[in-house]
Amino acid sequence: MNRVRASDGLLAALALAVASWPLTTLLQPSTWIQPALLLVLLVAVLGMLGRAAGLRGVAVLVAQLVLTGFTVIWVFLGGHLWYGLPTDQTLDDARVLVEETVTTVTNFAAPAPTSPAIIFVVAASLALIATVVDYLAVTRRAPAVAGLVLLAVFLVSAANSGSSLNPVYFLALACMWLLLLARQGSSVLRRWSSTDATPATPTRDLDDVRGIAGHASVARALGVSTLVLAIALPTVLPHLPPHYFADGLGRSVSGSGGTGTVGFTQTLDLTADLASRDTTPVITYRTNDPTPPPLRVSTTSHYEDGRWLPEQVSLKQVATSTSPKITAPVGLQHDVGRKRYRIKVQTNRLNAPRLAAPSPVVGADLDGVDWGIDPDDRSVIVSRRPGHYQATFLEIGRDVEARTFAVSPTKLAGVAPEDLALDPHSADLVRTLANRVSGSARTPLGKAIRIQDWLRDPTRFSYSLTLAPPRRDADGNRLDPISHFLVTKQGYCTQFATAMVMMARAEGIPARMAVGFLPGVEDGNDLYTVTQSNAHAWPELYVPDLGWARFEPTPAVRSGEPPVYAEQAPAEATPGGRPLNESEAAPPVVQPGAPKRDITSLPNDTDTTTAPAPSASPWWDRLPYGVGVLVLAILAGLVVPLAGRYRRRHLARFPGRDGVEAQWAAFSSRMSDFGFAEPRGRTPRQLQRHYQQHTGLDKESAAAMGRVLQTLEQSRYAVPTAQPLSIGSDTKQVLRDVTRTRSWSTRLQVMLWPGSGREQLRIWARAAAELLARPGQELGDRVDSWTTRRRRRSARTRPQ
Amino acid sequence: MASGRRRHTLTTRGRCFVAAGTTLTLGGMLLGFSDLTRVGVLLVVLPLAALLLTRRRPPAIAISREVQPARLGLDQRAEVRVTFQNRGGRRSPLFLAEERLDYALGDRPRFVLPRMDPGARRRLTYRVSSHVRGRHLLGPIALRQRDPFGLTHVGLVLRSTTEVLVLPRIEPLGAARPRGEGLGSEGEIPHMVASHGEDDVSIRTYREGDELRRVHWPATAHRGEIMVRQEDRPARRRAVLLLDSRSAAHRGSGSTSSFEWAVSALASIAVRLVSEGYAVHLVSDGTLADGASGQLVDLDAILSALALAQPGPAEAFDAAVREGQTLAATGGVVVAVVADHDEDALRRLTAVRQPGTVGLLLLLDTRSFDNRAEEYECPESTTAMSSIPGTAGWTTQVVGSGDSVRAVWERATVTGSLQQVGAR
Repeated sequence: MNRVRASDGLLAALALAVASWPLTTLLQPSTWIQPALLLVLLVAVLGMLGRAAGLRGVAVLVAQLVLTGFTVIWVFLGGHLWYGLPTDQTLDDARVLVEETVTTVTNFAAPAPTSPAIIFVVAASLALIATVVDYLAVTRRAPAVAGLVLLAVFLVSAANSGSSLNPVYFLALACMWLLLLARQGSSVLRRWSSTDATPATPTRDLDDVRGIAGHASVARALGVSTLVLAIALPTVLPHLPPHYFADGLGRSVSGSGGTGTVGFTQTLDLTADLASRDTTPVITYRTNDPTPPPLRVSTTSHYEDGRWLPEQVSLKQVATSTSPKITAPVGLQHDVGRKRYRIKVQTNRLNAPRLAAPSPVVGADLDGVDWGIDPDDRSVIVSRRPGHYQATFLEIGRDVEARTFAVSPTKLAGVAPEDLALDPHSADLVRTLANRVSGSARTPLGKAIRIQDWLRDPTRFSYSLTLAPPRRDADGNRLDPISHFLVTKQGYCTQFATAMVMMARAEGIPARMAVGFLPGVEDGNDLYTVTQSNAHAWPELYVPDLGWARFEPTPAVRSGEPPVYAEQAPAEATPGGRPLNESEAAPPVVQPGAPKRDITSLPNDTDTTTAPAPSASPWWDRLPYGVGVLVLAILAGLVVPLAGRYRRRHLARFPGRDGVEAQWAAFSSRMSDFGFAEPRGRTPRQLQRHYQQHTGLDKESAAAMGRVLQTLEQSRYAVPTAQPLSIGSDTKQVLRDVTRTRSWSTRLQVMLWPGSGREQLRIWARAAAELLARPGQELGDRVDSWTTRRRRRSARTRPQ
Repeated sequence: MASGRRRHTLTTRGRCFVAAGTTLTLGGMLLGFSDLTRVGVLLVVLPLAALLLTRRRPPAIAISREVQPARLGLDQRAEVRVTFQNRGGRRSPLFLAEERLDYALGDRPRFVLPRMDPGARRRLTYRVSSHVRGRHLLGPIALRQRDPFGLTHVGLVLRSTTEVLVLPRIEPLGAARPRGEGLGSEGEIPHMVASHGEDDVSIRTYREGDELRRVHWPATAHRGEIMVRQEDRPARRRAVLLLDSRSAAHRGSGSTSSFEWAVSALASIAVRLVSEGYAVHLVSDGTLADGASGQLVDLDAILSALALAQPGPAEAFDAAVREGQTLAATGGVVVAVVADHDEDALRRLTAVRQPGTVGLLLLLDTRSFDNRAEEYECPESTTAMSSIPGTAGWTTQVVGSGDSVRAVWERATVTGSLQQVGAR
């Protein structure tokens, strides 16, 4: 049985299952679990059989790999087998499944739909990993190294979920891994011995000659405290916003040749795309538009927890035919000037179901691919990726009549309530700023242009791919991303666009976030090349007469000129001239409902630097913390002296001790605090000699000490007398003399760090450790003894 | 008591954990993955917490060993009982322990010393045996404190050692006695008394001529007349055993060397002679050095001396010869086991035997201990050498590597009678 290591094998399999548990957050429905777990179990059982058969080391691994490989092939790739053996076709099948999985993973935001292909890939990979884990953790007895593999599985989920995982996943995996480590530790213990040291004094653990149970309780204590710290510490450690270096679910995949495709991050965070140095063109196109607008890919209105969530696309309902019916853009009045341009895309590596094209598209030829216009945001949805295509789009002209909203914005066609939703964390700040920035502009377009221009001002905001370090508000909470951007005034297109969307919404203008690509670089031959780093985000605002119109709050260094209708404010919309400039900056506006403290963290318009001075809170604000810390420190300092006090009282209360004995026990404990431990097994007279020799008492105290020990002797050995004996006053005198003659450091130590207190703490700690070691049993024992005591007491007090 | 070096270190695994954990924590913080940070913190905290746990004062563990029996014959098994007691005021941690033994004593016992409450005792029992004579050490005990996850390593040595003495091989020599020892026992050869006073003290009245320093004052006071101590010198047959411990003279290695044969032969003869009532003197390097050769010691002391005998320089042999001459001056059996190395030394040795006493010389044919070929013939030089002591009245036997002590002893004693027959 020892050679098989069944429990270790099952434990390793379980650890892997736990490590792959967070995959449930990435793939739904969880139909992959059953086949994957069965395969992992199979690997574990094969390992046991291999070891039972006497195979050694790598032979077990090879047997596991071969048999598991065949099982995977029979279960998942049963189509083209030749007498149960794989053929070329089987390999092709596998390749197709893997490609399908890659497509799904790159196109879908988490959670991705679980297709048979995904089940195959996940189950087969987990089976492979299971063999490695089994080999390392069980066959080679190296669970520490196996932890590396488990960590990798865990990180696949952690890195792709976009935010941090629920700590439960980590906790479960850490528990399993520590268990594996501890089991290996105790097996070292078991294998170490060639003989045993048997107890010669009564012990409690007769069965446990080698003390493995004691070892295990140490392991438990160590493991639990470490886990608590591992959960608690990261919450206090500062973290930068997530950066991605690896490809993953819903993240971009850049291939080495021309076959790679591009997707968008599921959180619509473009950091990775913008920082990408991949020069492979995503799209190349020609157009007859002399100043082509950005190519839009998709939009979203949902902002939650500091990030934009992608819209769910129902492929089947939208992409219906090769020439779908196209409706006119919502809200665009026909009297608004417009021009029709054509774009001819020559290479396209953007993944289905998205297609990049300037908005609004009014016609397209996708070379036989089914497509359609998403009715919500007019983005083009394709059933599969077309290699090249043509599209016709509109560009809105200059002569826009500025109108106010005649009806409530939410009643307008194409506007959903979430297009006006503010992020609650930053709502106050955004409202204040929007109010101030839009100033006296009356029309939505006028307000929008003012907000856009305020953000575009390079003296106020700076464009940077790296964000400023995290800030905290006056309450010590971390600033949410929008407030952080508005305070630090540093960011890239996502931040600018998000800020504008929120400020527009605060002013009652429906707004949403659009993502896509900048026009790219022209090669002098009218051929534009768009690379991944051209990814861009901008706001779309619903403006009367224009409908959903693009604005460009990102500074010109990055985005170029804003659209013509947003370039110059209509005369009536800006009666006060251009929006706020430095000279007319108003004093900070206090929102009636806003908490007073927020004023200090509000961005100040007169502040031309990009980083405002850190908010300073007056010292008395921090006073409560200081007092709290001081109180805590005092309480902590009292722990040991109080434990010592408890110890002395406890000694005095010991059953069978009363009167002189109790006083003596307390006195002896106090004396040992001073370094004069009572030697064991001495008579009172011997004790007297001992103390006299060591303490160096003065004459009076020595006499008191003599009386103390005489009384003790009397109480111990003499015939009990009627009058009660006491040594209280004499012990006090001795202690006073001892205290007086010690150095100040000894006195301080006895006061704050007495040995009796430490002894008591040690007793408590041992009791706690024992409770931890045998939780059930110990607790049961305690309850038993408690109830027995109660019963006895009640029996005593019961009237006869 | 516990003492010795105590080293706290992280094991390689522990160090790897700290390094990997630090990297992961920093990486997690920089990249913004709190999952990564959690893993990192776990990896850093675990070894450090384990180190903290093991960084305590060394435990006060007292050790006592009992070896039964303390003196072993070759390949005889002895039982060792080691008792550990926690003399400290707190519970001792769990240790992986190893009792360090001399290699000759066999496998080192490894055991787990579990956590012990203050005052608790544990007993370890194991057996040792050795096929190499000499003094062997039991202990010290190496303790390794190991945390359950194998991240820290604390080494501690309990420097308590006990000796076990392994005696040389003793062969029973049968009933044969040295020739010419006489028929009687003690008291029959009164002229062969020891030169030093010993034993049997009686008190008698003072007679004229008694030395005053022999007055026994307590008895004088008691009796009211002058009493003196009378020291009888009962006659005891004496034997002087002489070991040739010139390292240059001996050949062969290990337990099959000629020196080992000599030690084993002398030990066997000493046992035989003591059982016959002889007072035996051992003259060897060791006894010369500690002055034991001149005194009459018991068999145990002789065997101990032989157990510890080691080959020494050539000059020591001359000293041994001189000492042997002194001891044998008043008569007694002389038994010498000598290597066939130096003819002059052999001639000097022949002077040890006093006329009228028995001299037994076992001449080691050392080449045979080197050359273990089956068809081996004693070289002529050795044969020639063997005749030298004979001329001085010694009974000589040439000993080859294959000879048993008993056979040689019997041959030597029988040869003596044959010579007597021949003389008749």
